[in-house]
Amino acid sequence: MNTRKELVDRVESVSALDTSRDDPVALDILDSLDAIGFSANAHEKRWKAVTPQRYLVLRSKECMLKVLLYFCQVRLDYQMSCCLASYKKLVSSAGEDAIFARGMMKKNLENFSLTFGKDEEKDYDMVQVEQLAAPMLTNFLGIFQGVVVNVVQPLGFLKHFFKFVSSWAVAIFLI
Amino acid sequence: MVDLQCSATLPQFRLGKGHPLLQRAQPFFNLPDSNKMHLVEDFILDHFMRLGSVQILEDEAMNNCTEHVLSMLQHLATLGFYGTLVENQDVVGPLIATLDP
Repeated sequence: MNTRKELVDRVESVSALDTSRDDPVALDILDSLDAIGFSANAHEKRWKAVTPQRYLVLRSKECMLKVLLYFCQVRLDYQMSCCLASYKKLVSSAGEDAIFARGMMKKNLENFSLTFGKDEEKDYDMVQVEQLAAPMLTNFLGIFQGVVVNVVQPLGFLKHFFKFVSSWAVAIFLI
Repeated sequence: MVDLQCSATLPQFRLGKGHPLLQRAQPFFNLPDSNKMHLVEDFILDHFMRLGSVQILEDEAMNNCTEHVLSMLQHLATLGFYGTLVENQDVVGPLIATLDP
């Protein structure tokens, strides 16, 4: 759900499917779209052209996000960094996608402005945060798996070596 | 737990002992702390206060100005001139209000 193409594909799929929510596939897609603040009833908004004036405003918003993201990073506010990074990605990928981004992030931004600078527990929408963090986690697991396959497995001979040494150690101890 | 209230916690601009700029006579150069640019910071804050959290699509001149002010803010932030929590909080509120009114 992170790329623009995927969003377009999903929107087109919804248009082609029965959106009465009886179809399990349609239901799944609609739920996914709802999760990012986009409902099938309003999807035509997406196709509004981006004028140069609008682009100028979007560029400003992207810059605001960069600054906010920097402040989050220096404050080690990982959850909010994750949300803002996703928002920024949508704003920068294409003007139209900012329409989705607004709906998706509005609640988080409200929470952000309320909790920024306070030590109290932050009341983020954890479902959204987890959704945003999932691709990062997948990447991490992919790297971890790569390490296991490429580094640890070739070192498997060490296991046999230690087995050999330990068996000799036990034998010497017994003698 | 990081104590964000402590003024030295966040990364910030500071001239260390023996820095050649400390030898310069002009106060702009030899001021060692992150509040060196406080007038620019005030100007940036004032700009966003005057915007009133609203960017009018047709007002291209003002939007251009806002974009340049934001660029300035970005540079000041990344170079450590917003080095304390209070300074961060001052600017974050108007930014969020303007970002998503």
